[in-house]
Amino acid sequence: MLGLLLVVLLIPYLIAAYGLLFVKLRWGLRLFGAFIVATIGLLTAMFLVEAYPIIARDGVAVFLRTSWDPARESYGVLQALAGTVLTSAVAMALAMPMALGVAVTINEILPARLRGIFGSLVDLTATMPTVIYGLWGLFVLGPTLQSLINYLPGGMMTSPYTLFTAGVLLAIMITPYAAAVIREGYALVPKPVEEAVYAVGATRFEAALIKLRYVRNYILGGFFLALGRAMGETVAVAMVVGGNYARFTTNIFESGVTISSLIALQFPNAASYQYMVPALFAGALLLTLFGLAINAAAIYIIQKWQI
Amino acid sequence: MFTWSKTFYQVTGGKIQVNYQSIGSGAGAAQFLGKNLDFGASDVPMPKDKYQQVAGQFVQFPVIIGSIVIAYNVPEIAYQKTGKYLNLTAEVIALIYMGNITQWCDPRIKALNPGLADKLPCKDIVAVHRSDGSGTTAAFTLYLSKAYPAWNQTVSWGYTVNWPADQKAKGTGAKGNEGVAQAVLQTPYSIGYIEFAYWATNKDKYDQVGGVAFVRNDNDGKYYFPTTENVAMGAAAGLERYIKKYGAPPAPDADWNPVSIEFSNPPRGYPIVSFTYVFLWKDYAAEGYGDAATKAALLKAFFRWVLTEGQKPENIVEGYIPLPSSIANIGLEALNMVKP
Repeated sequence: MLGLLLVVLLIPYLIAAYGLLFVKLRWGLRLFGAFIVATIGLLTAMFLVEAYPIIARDGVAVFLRTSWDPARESYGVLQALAGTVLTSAVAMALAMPMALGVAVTINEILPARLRGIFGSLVDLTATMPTVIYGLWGLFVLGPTLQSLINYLPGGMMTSPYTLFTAGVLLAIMITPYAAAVIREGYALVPKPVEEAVYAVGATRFEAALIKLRYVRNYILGGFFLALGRAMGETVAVAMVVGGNYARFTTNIFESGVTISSLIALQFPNAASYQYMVPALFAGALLLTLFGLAINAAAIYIIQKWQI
Repeated sequence: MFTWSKTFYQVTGGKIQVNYQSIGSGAGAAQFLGKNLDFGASDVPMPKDKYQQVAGQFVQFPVIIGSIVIAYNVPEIAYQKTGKYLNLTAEVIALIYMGNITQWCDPRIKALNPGLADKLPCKDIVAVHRSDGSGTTAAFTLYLSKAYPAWNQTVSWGYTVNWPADQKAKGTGAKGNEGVAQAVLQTPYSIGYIEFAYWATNKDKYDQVGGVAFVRNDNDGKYYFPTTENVAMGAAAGLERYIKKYGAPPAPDADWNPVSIEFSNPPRGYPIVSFTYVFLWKDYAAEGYGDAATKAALLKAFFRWVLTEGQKPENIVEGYIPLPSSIANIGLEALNMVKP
């Protein structure tokens, strides 16, 4: 129903927007911008409408409870939000150093001839279907991590499929995104700046650090782009996160679930239950609001840094 | 189902092509009711509330039998080392997934396995379950609900349940049969339930690290290994029990939820039995399908073939079990109820 509304809105909008683009560029662009905001608003409204039955039944408790018991129609999504936060945190902690390393390596260390090839290879890994990463996680990464972690004293990874496995897999998946943004920024450092850095006697390492500070806005941009990917990734995470949808855990070496993987895992049979579909939409709503909050924080930080 | 449609396509000389897609049991039923599909298939019968909406308008019948094996990874007692498989009962399996039996050397496991008792290690059991909603979980939890009442009270059954072992012991999830199989093969001291067909093609791998359990049928007290014969015996016995209780075989247009409950934990044979059910409308014209007469005739031809020729061993995918003729006849009766 809402989908139809969107399509109906879309057609006159596109005609008007294209018309305006040619007549008055500024107003055309504004209209496009307004449409993007309206889309997000409508999407959030749709989640709210779809989630309404369970919110009407349980109130906000559905967002604050950790429970997933379809036999008793009892649902909560807090454990999934915790899983999303934990896997994203692991992923970002591992991915950012890798992304910085990739960006510096490509621009500083590799011979100019190889830069293009290496850069495109990194970009190519970003376009690999996520289900391939998922299969690799299922059969290679999960078992390997389990053996490694359990080799350490006190390392207790009872299953190959845990929040940690998902986090490491995500890190590998999102590194090219962050790396691409940082690399582009790094290549744009003006030549006079670079020459000035070397002129004051900086080593190559120090020069790289100074240049990275120079492009910190690109690093932040890459960070939030990668974070968005990590929070939303579904298929690959669903295959390796374990999927303990009823337990709240803060131990990353335990199985858990993220919001998007919970939706992917439970949606196919959700229609057999009265309140499961609304509960999954409540999860989607929570993820959207959480994502908006993260983005708002990102905009705030970037603006503050640019003073 | 997919193999059937391929073979049927060849048998009919390429005239009739049946398209089948695997989209999940719940979705299959929902799409059938939404009339987006000509027929539906599901690992569980039409849910009761949905059945009531369209009672009498459609038929449902089993087309193939599946089963579930209990696989375990305990290197100390691996089949290749000891030549023995574990004996388990519904009670012990339920208590493991309820988080009450947490170690392999638990006296309740030892008592069932005198031959292996001194080799069972005192290691924590990792109970692996499906993380996605699945017909396999529904059949497995239905069996535990029927065979061990305490399970029914605390956990109950369905596509997804709230596993107490996740909270109280080392329970963990994995996606799909392949995920559970991989987790069990990879994780020492784990146990998991896997679709029979999935295990049947890879038996050796399981024997290296553990094996699959003999499961006791509590009704006759015997232990059964998951073989084609033992599962078929269970299915036939389930039907007998249904007839004894209700006086007649189940009608194709009746609610099949009580039927699936009678089939689970049958009087004899391997106790975990599941079916794949097919849904057909009784009157395709009345349901608003275009070209209803042709559609109904083709569907009837296809499923008549499935229930007769399709049940022959050469037409069945390895790991599935053909219907005993008593059950196949219910399907043939159902086809007669579909208006040409």
